[in-house]
This record gives sequence, structure tokens and C-alpha cells, in this order.
Amino acid sequence: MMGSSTFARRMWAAWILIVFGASTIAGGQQTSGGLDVVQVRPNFYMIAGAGGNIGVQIGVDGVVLVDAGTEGASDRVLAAIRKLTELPTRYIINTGAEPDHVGGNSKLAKAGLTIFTNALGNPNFTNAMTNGGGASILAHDSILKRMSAPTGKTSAFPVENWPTEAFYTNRKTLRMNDEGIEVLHLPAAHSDSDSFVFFRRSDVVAAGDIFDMTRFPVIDVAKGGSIQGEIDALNRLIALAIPSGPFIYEGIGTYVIPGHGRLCEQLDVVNYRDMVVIVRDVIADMIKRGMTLDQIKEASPAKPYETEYGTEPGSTNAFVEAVYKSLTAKK
Amino acid sequence: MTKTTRNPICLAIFFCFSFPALAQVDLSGSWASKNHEDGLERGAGPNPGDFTGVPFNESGRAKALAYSQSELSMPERICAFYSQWHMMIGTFSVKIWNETDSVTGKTVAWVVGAWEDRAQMTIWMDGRPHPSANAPHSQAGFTTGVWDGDVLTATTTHMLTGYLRRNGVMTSDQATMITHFIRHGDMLTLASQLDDPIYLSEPYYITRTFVNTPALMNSGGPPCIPGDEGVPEGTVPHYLPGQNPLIDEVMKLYHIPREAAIGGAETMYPAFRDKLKDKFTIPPKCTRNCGAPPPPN
Repeated sequence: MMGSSTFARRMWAAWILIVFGASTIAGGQQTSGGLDVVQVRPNFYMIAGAGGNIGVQIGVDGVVLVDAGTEGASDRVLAAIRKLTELPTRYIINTGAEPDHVGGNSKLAKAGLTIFTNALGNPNFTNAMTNGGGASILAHDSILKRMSAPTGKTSAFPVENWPTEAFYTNRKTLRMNDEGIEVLHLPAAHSDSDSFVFFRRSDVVAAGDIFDMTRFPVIDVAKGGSIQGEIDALNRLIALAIPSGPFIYEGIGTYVIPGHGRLCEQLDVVNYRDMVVIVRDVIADMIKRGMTLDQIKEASPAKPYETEYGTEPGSTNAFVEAVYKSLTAKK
Repeated sequence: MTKTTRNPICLAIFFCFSFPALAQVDLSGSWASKNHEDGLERGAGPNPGDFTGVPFNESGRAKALAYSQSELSMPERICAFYSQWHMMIGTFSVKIWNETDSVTGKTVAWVVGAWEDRAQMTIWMDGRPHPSANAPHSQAGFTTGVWDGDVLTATTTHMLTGYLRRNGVMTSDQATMITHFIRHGDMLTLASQLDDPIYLSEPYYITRTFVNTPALMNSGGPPCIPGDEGVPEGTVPHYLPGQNPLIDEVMKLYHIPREAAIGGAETMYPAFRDKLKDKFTIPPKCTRNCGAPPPPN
């Protein structure tokens, strides 16, 4: 016969078993300091919620990051990376020059470790070649130009955030963690300083703000962006990505990390490209019919997509204006 | 009192895990589709411009009006196929089975087999959560299920963009599909609700019925390799606003007033017929594209 105290203890044990089991299931998603860490491949993650999305490649050489999020989120990003690996960050590769992509450059780089470790004993080398012993910040020269300023002028970002390795060609390659990495410069798209970062073995492309799942593309015409450049860039992204054929239901093909929003695949990019092309065509037709910018805005040329990409106040008008300006700019 | 009921741990586990099992119905088997409901929808497909009963919002309608059927021939879309919603509007029969835990014998998932143009639906019954909002989407989506009495209710999220009707009425990647599997003897009814904050102002509902059959239904389909269907790479077929030439086809064919053909939540409800009663004249007997053939005896 079971005593009442034994019965009570066993009841508590049963409830703890049930409650603990339930909370374990509910905790299956990876969150870290309000950030959402999504596993893309066994060695690859996407961190969302720190401003722009951050790509994280991990291997024997250390960590390669694509973008660094906002400055304010840096500590949380570092903590999230620490949960994934103890290995140091070796590279940060920037896709653009916006604060939500490069704001964390300085802190994340300083917490990393240069690949030039044989130069650490020489302070001159350390400072000149190795970003003070931290991780390198790699970006196209156009990004460096947007972030910096000529001597005597005020720059958009402090010097610690600037790229330490700028390249001038349209394609920069490196090999880290036994994987070929291509950094591809896209001229005149979202702005004049956009890059894709393609991890060839992981089959992951980080697309930056050229592909933004949360809103219409922000085309900064004043900074060299253009609607045709945006479409060309999206077409290139589609060409880089491979869908999951011929066995179409067996997994996903190339993963695409957008500048903002959820992890994507080629068909998502196709949908986004189609949206941009259709809105461009509608506005071009309205211009051809002699409509003014105000009349075009009034006619809602982006109506089919407003509930999906135009929820941010002013974003639809900004997109329509950018397309209009881009189409009517003197060649 | 039995030994089992004297042991409180066993009692608690029994109460928490055993009752749902008692309510489960066996859904497994081969199920032949009775295409008597929405026959045209499941067969040739709806007429262009037939948006009757679709609870569009303005974006949804504008997107449907911009749609060109040639979109399906874009090289990037030939193998894209349908989202899980196609299970409700497609024509094929289904094979259903359950996956069990080899140790406990419990059903871990119910599976609705794939078609050649729709991915398998795996309905997870083990309490796992849906992935985060930042996780990737797929044609299959992600589905969890619970038993409500004898009815299995499956909730599907994380689908890719797809078709609600095969004439340009779209479902977005933010849509949620709730499907009830209801078995009455040899009949299986699926009743589904689609909530889509991007294209719909109210939920959309549809049902379909299957009959149990001894004929084996195979699951899955052939691989897909896109060919050249005449739409050059990078071209996006679409109609400009006000220039869709097919918009009045269904109006002429069935004498349906424009306000009904262009859809909207109001057109879903029976009361809308009162509004139209003086605007509708019965068309001549249908001679072309009149729906699916009658089901076999």
C-alpha cells in the first residue's frame, strides 16, 4: 500500500516529467538574445533580428561572417556566435554600406582574430596589415568609399568600421574552411555599392539589400542605384541559384539569404524579380502615356504587391519614385 | 483498484498521452477522388477571369488581373509546381499512411502522399513546433496535426507562393492552411480553410471527398526537367492594368455580372445572390468546357 506522502512525491515527479518534456519541445527553435539563429547547412547559419541578416560560415579556419548587423546588436550577435562555436571570426564580408549591415563591423572584427597570426609579434604589421589583430573586413571599394571620406571631411562611419581589405574588381575570391567563396560586385542596383557573397560548397548566396523580403527594393538613385541594375542583379542571383530539380520535392536547392526577412530559395527570388519587372513595366507604360509622377502614384502601379512589400510607411511611394526617376533619367 | 491506477506516474502519463490515441481514426489507405465538387476547377481549370467567390483584398485582385497563363512557361517556373493548397483543388486521388515510432508504436506522423505536381504532406503528430518565421519555405510547407474527436485537424504553414485557383488567384508565402480530415466509413471528406493576410480579406473555404478503394494509389511522380516552352529566360509575362483581354470571358460565357466575376468577400455569401437576382439571365445550355465528366458508378 502506498503512503500519501509517497503518492504526492510521485505525482510531483509525474508533473515535472510532463512539464519538462513540453518545455523542451517548445524550446526547439534557436533563439539567442532576441535573435533568431536559423541553421542553413550543417556548417552554415543565418542570424536574423540584428538589423540586416548575417550569414555565418564555420569551419576549421574559423568563422566567416557576411555582414555585421547594427552596432547596437553587436554584443548579442557575438553571444549568438559563441553559442555556435568557440572558433574566432576571421573575416567579415560586407554586402553593402548601410548601418544595419556594417554598424557591427568594428566590434565583431575586434572580437575576432586576424589570419596574419605570424605578424602579431610586430606591432607595425599588426596595425597596418591585421586590423589590430582582429578579423579582416572585406568589401568592394565602392563600399569603402560610401563609408569613408576624404581627409578633412566627416565620414559616414568611424574608421574602425571601414573595410580593411577593399577590392576593385567585379569578382573577388577567397578560400576559407575548405570552401570557395566568391564576392561579386553588382554595379548600379540598390546603390552603386552592392555585392553578393556566394559560398560554393555550402551552396548559399548572401544577397544583401538587393533582395529584401520585407519591402520593395530600396533603390537609391542618388547613390548610383537604378531599376535596370536592380533587375540585372536579381537575374544574376537567379542564375547563381539552382532549384531542387529534377527531384523537385527532395530538399531545397541553393539557399539565398536576403538582406532582410526569411531564408529563401530560387523561386522566392523569381517571385521578387517578377514583382520588380512588372511594376517597372507598369510605370514605363504610364510614363509613355504622358502621366506625371503624381498621377502615377495616384494610379497605384504597385497595387498587387502593396500588402506584401509596402507595409512600411512611405516605402511604396519611395519605390515608385525611384523607378520613375530611374526610367526618366537622362542617359 | 488495479496496480496501474495505484501508480500515480503511470496514471498521469496515461491521462496525458493515452486519450488522444483512443480518439484516433485510421485514415490510412488508398482514396479515390470524387470529382463531383468543383469539377471544372479540378479538371480543365477555372475560366480566365472567374474570380467568383474569392474573398480578395485589392492586392489579390490586382495580382490576379495582371496574371498571364504564359507565366507557367517561364523556365524558372516550369518545375515550380503547386503549393500544398493544390491538395484541395487538384484532381488526383491520394494515398495516406501513418509513420509510427518503432518502440512505442505511437503515430509520429500522418502522411498524404505526393502527386506529380504536389509535394507530400507530412502531418507531424508528435507535438513539434512550427519552424521560426525566418525558416525557409517549400512547396510542401510544414504541417502539424491534432485530433479533435474523430477529426484530424492539420495546420500547414511555411508554404511557398502558389495558386488558390489556377487562373491567377494566388496564395502567398504567409498563408496558413487548416485542413480537417473527416472519415465516415468508406468516405473521406477534407474541409480546408485558407487564411492569407497578403491576398485575402477573409478566409477561403473548400471541401472535397474521396472514397476508399482497393486499387493501389502510388505516391509521388516523375522527376521534372524544364524544357523550352517559348518564353525567353528573364521575360516576365503579365498584363498591364486594364489590359487583360480575358477578363470578360466568364461574364460572356455564363452571363455573370462583372461585380460577381471580379470576386471579393461579398461574393462568397448566399445573400449576394439576392443582390444579383435582377442582373442575371440564365445562359443557353452549356456545350463546351462544362466541368468534369460524371463520376463512374
